[in-house]
Amino acid sequence: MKCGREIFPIEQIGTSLFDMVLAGIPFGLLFVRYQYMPTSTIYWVIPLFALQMALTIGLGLALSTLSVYFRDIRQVIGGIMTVGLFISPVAYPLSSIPPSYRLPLSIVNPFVPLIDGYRPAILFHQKPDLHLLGPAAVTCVVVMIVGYVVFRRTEIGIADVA
Amino acid sequence: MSLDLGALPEGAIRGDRLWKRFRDDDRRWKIGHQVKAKVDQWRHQDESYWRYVLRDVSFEIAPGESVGLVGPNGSGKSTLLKLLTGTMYPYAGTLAVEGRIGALINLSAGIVSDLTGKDNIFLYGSLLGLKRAEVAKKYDQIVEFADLQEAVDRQIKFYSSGMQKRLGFSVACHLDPAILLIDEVLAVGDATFQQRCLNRMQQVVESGTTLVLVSHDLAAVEGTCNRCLWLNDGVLLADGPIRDVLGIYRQWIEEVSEQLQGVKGEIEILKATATDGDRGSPRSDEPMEVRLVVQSDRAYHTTFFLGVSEGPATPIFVLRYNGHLEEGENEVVCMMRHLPLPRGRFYVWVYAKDNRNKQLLPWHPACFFDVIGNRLQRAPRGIIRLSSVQVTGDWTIS
Ligand SMILES: Nc1ncnc2c1ncn2[C@@H]1O[C@H](COP(=O)(O)OP(=O)(O)OP(=O)(O)O)[C@@H](O)[C@H]1O
Ligand SMILES: [Mg+2]
Repeated sequence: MKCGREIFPIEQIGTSLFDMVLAGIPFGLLFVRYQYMPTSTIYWVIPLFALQMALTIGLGLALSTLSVYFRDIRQVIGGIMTVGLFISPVAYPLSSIPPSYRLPLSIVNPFVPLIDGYRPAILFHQKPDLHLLGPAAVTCVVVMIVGYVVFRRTEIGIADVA
Repeated sequence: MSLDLGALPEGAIRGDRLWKRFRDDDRRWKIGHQVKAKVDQWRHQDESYWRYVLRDVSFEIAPGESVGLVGPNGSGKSTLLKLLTGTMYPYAGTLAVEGRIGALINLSAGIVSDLTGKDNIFLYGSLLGLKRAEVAKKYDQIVEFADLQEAVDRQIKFYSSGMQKRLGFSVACHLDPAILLIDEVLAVGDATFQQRCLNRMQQVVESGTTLVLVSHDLAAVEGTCNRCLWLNDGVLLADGPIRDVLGIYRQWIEEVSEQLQGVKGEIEILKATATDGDRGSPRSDEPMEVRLVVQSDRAYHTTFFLGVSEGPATPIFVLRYNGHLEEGENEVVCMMRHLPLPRGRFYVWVYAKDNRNKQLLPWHPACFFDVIGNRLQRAPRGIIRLSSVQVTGDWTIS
């Protein structure tokens, strides 16, 4: 059986995951150094990670083929990533966002509750905020399905334009 | 959609009314342009964008057949192969290809230029769905056939283009494909490798693999395949036994290149014939007479060159003659006592210059002739014959 073309964007994600694992090593060493036990809520990492993967795969599939059709996408993505970094609670806590904005922001950008969910789950014995994560999960799944459909439909013409 | 007559056996190909079209559109990268195109399409004004490259192509290939695919440049041969590999999809029609495909279609397909030759062999194998161990079993054969022992650990980007093609061909035909698709392998390889490719293809066919071979080297196609498809401007013009199809294809090429005739330099050839001296076709080992009617505006001391080729501009042999041309019509006759050619079609090429080395007539085909006689005697495997000259000998062993 020949493998589908999905393998190529997914392989890229795999490469990044490997990076992430490497980056996790110093993180683990810090736990050892400070003799800090990960908290019992750490199992939340699993659903968070699953949702993150769904979202990434969906985006990756759609963008991979679309960027073949529209070369500009490749150029624009760098900028979008930078903007994305600032509208996600990476360098600031979610609590610094006004409460009324949090839900719409989470729906539009599911990375918000995902990123905000890891930290408390690993460090502070807190569950992620399910009121935000729930709707964001829906977005993740929708993105994955839409991304896959877009990929399937656009993949057909890729060799014609590449 | 066609009716599907059940599953195809392994190694079979069936194309049913295949169409392929491309958009001739240099601004398709622009999103705004795409939006406009969509609007046009919505208003049904879009047809002008499309160029049809394959039109209603239907064929069926049984397992183990060896099929040549010929046609002039841009006729859609490579496109058809890409449909067969699944790289491209047809616009309309159905295509069924059964079994593992080994393909060598374009140099860069399936090859990662940052990896070494060795890594690429394994990568290609796994893209075909082979296990690492299965590829490992074939690995030595692949490297040995490609003759790249000293280069397998080098990155592909530092390979010469011939080396890349060797590797590609070797991988494609050693991983036990059920179907082997080859597009113009012979163009890049050196002479020894070309011959090895031909031999290997022969073996692959004998072992029951289906072969589709695209080449402009008609002799190679003829030697390898027993059936031939002729694509012309996206239309399948002929499908049949190799000799019949190549016969009409060669004739068609000749008609096209006939426009070359009547080439005029300082002098002009009005008529050219090649016969056995008596209006018949020339025969192997018998005399042949080439008769040229030459129109000249004034008198010249001329050197004529007369070459015989299998079609291209490179002659098998050349005859040369110094003579005097009068003003008006002249008849130049060259009598060859023993024609050293096997059965087949050959072309007479002519060139003329005057005694000050000024060109009077460019090198061009003047006519063709069909030789009656025995088929060309085969060279042993692995030996390349430069041209199809046939000499009969009387043998004795004592
Ligand atoms: N991706 C593409 N986009 C637009 N046009 C294409 C594309 N691929 C091929 N074509 C066009 O389709 C036609 C057929 O091309 P193809 O490569 O199949 O020819 P070919 O028969 O293989 O010719 P050759 O003998 O030169 O290899 C050509 O006119 C070519 O320009
Ligand atoms: Mg081609």
